[in-house]
Amino acid sequence: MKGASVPVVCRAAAIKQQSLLHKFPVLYRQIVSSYLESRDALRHQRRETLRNDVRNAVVDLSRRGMRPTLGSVSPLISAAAAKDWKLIHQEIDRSMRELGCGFGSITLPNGKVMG
Amino acid sequence: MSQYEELKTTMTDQQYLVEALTEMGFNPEVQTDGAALKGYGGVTWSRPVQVIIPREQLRGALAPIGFGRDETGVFQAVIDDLDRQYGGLDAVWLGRVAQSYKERQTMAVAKTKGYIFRGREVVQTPQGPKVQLRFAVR
Repeated sequence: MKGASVPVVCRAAAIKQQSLLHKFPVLYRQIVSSYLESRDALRHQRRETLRNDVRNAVVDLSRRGMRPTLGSVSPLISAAAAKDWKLIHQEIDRSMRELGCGFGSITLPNGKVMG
Repeated sequence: MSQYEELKTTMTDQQYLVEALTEMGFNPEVQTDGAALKGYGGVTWSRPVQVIIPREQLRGALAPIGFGRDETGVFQAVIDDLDRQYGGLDAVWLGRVAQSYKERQTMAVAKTKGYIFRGREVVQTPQGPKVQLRFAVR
């Protein structure tokens, strides 16, 4: 159960969270710490996946002469990547800058042009 | 659920505090207008803190650490109680921050008074290691 949250561990062990905290504070802290660590690692991994996926999408779309937009990039992102439109937008922007794409702006699905 | 606790310090200068924390390997965030602290499970400290060490930089910690000025302008450390009791972020750790802070403050004061820095020595005492700074008069 490494990386499990306190509620999950307490449910599995059939004890109350408050009991765990008061009777075994060191163990409680270890469980929380391990949970936070695994959550941070997962977030980091999802962000990395998003970065790679967006970069690949931007390269692919640019080669085909298409403007990378939130709408055109989103379908090309894998399920394991972070799903947050602000992050996707940031990564499109970053990839275009790094790859030196000739587009000066990004068009959002609502038609608004950013950048 | 854990909770935030306030630990008293005598530090007043933000620059030396940030330098001391940086020296200890952290990359503290400075919030000029102050910010609230949030830890695991909705633990919060609503009084504004000006210097924050993010949780990610405190290996294994449950919550970020903050340093906030009190009404007299002195920084008080805000630390999660479980991190303090079982995570090594206790009075001894805070003492190391204060020692590094004091070293920086002393160096700065000595410089303004024209003293020449002659060396730094760590002396072992029954109370623990102490830093001795040696200066000469110009």
